[in-house]
Amino acid sequence: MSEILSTISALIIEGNFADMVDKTNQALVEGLGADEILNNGLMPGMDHVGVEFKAGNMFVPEVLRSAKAMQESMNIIRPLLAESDTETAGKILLGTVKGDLHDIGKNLVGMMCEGAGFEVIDLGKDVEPETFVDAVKEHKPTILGMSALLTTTMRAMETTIKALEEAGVRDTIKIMIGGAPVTQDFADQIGADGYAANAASASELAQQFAG
Amino acid sequence: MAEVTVIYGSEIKTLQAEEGEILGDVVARTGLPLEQPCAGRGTCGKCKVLVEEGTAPPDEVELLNLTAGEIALNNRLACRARAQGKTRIVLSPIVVYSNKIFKGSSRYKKEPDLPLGLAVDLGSTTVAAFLTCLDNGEVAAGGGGLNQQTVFGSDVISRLAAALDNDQNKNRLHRLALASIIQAVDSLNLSEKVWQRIQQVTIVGNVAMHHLLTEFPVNKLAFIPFQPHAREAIKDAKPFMEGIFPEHVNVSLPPLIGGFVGSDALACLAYFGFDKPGGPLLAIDLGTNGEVMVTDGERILTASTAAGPAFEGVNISCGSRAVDGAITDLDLDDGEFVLTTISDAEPVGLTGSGLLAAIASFRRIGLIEESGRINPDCEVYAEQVMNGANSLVERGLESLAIPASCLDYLEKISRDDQGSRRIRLTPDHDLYLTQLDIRELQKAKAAIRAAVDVLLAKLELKPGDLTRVILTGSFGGQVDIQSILEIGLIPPISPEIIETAANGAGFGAAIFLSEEGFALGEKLAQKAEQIDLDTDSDFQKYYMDGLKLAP
Repeated sequence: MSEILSTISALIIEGNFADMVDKTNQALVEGLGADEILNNGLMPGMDHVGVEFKAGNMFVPEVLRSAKAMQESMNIIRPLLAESDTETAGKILLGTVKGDLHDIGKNLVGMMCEGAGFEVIDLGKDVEPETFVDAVKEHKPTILGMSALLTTTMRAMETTIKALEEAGVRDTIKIMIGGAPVTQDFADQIGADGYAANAASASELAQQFAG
Repeated sequence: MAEVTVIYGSEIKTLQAEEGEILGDVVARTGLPLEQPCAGRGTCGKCKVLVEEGTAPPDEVELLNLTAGEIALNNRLACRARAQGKTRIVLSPIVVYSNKIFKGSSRYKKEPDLPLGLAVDLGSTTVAAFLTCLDNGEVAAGGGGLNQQTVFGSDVISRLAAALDNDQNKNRLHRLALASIIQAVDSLNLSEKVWQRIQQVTIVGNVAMHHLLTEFPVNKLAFIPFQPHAREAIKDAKPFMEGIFPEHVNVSLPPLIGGFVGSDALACLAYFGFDKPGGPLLAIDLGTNGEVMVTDGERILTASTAAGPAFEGVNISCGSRAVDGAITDLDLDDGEFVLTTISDAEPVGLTGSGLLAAIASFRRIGLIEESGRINPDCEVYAEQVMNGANSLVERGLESLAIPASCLDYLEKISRDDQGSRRIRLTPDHDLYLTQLDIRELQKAKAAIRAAVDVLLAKLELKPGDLTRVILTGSFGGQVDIQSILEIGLIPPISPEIIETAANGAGFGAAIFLSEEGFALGEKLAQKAEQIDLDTDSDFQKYYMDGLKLAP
């Protein structure tokens, strides 16, 4: 593999966002394609970050720095990927459910999934069930991810799934949920397709769903 | 035949029983927990259950073992009460009576006409009751117990969720609050004569505790905007008390501040003199919910921050409540960790203070990095030691970034099955501090630190401007100041102006027993502002900064 791609992976792992623009441009000058940079530079880096995060060896601030490094590179290669019609791993719609304002965990999921090659559309926080329904209709994602931090607000996940059923779009998507109080049992109970305990697991789950 | 329904938190079991069968025997068949220390002989009075429906009237043994308040709530002894027709009972959580009985002024014994009051701090985890002289607010004695609502979860949000589920839960939480209050009061062993002198009871608590006690609607509190149903003082709260206090006693609930910041924080404001501060002042109530209070001498800002239960040893892999053998402190000595445990018993796990002491110590020698990561170079070396290396140089590892101070402790680091690093605490027991445990403490610590930073910034105060800093609450009252400064749980502040106070909320509630004190509380509630951290744009930035283990 090209040396510059290993360097880009290393920048992701170190969270070195300052050097990322230079190195991404250098890779392009060396004649590498945007898809190669994504698949063989950024993604292996984020993959490693995911593993270390899951084990607790990396923590939120370090992961955010890694994600920022990835964003720096993505800003350059995203237009090129769109031009070349590169297949993404799939489209993910994300949001923190109605009544809840917490989004650190949801943002991490977005970054990890982007690092796994997904196109991520983030609806933000305190998202009404109807907003989720409309966005599913508009963007036609492969996967919908919902997050809640509170035992009380996580119930809005069930309301949202019901709204998706009533709108007739529930079966067009896979639904994954997460957040501190959420469990696999709860996911089964409300009819979600999967549960992830942390951002790294969410990205793995999304890859299973898309695979 | 009788049909008995036994309820323990969210677990509900119904089974057939003989008419007149002892309830304790029926409970035993359900497999649900019931403490019967005297094995059902009717001698210890510890197997109390709440009866919602059914059973014959209490017998003599029960009358002897139950207080008037407990009988009013229909508490019964499981070893004596008998099933009758359709019977429903609620089990208490396994209760550990707090042995920390506070002894204060004995003046009330010498002055038999002195009117008395009871101040109650209804905490999410523990409930404390203080017998108080009404003439000057002096506290005479204190006692406490655990909040029995914990069967619905140790955090207040889970309990609010349970109350929202159905009215039966809501009523059960209300009755468990009352049962916990009366248990705390009963731990004072008040004589009939003392009871007759008690004129006034004041109960303080966070907003969730207040609303669950009064059965107020909690939907506004459980969802956006996360605000109380009503904030006003309730001067006659007797209708909520279900007869747990004698007829002649008046009961009042002081006003709430806003958000989750309740009358317990208000009591702290009163007790720590926020009405006449004399200079910039910071008080932090450190428990499951952290309350932070700051004044610049004029404005008073308050905020509630979800620190989570890490400080109580919950969600920590080898976490422990304060039981015999729980590690409360850890020192380093010549390659070994020196542990202090409760009752000097064999170590069983880490309490909140033990966790804090361990992390601060390991951080000091470099075993844990500022980011909270267990030093990976140490682990590499640890593996080499296992393989027979004698020194860093011999194995060509002199380039590793291992602080000289932690060389003695290197072999204590390993990885668990999940690939997570951990530090072995004792050679003889399988007790480890894991990487994920450190992360839990970091989150709790960052929540407190960020709240302090946000409030200070809003008042344009620097940590150095503060003239007095008070740490209170079950954890804050006994915390090691050096450790919390080292890991940056609070901003860099000169240790000389930091003090700890165990019972800020309870002693403040004692102030509210008098009419003037109550009026002061109402004034402070008007004046104090509540800052909503969830919607504060700076909070997340401070929180991210606050995760690091450094001043």
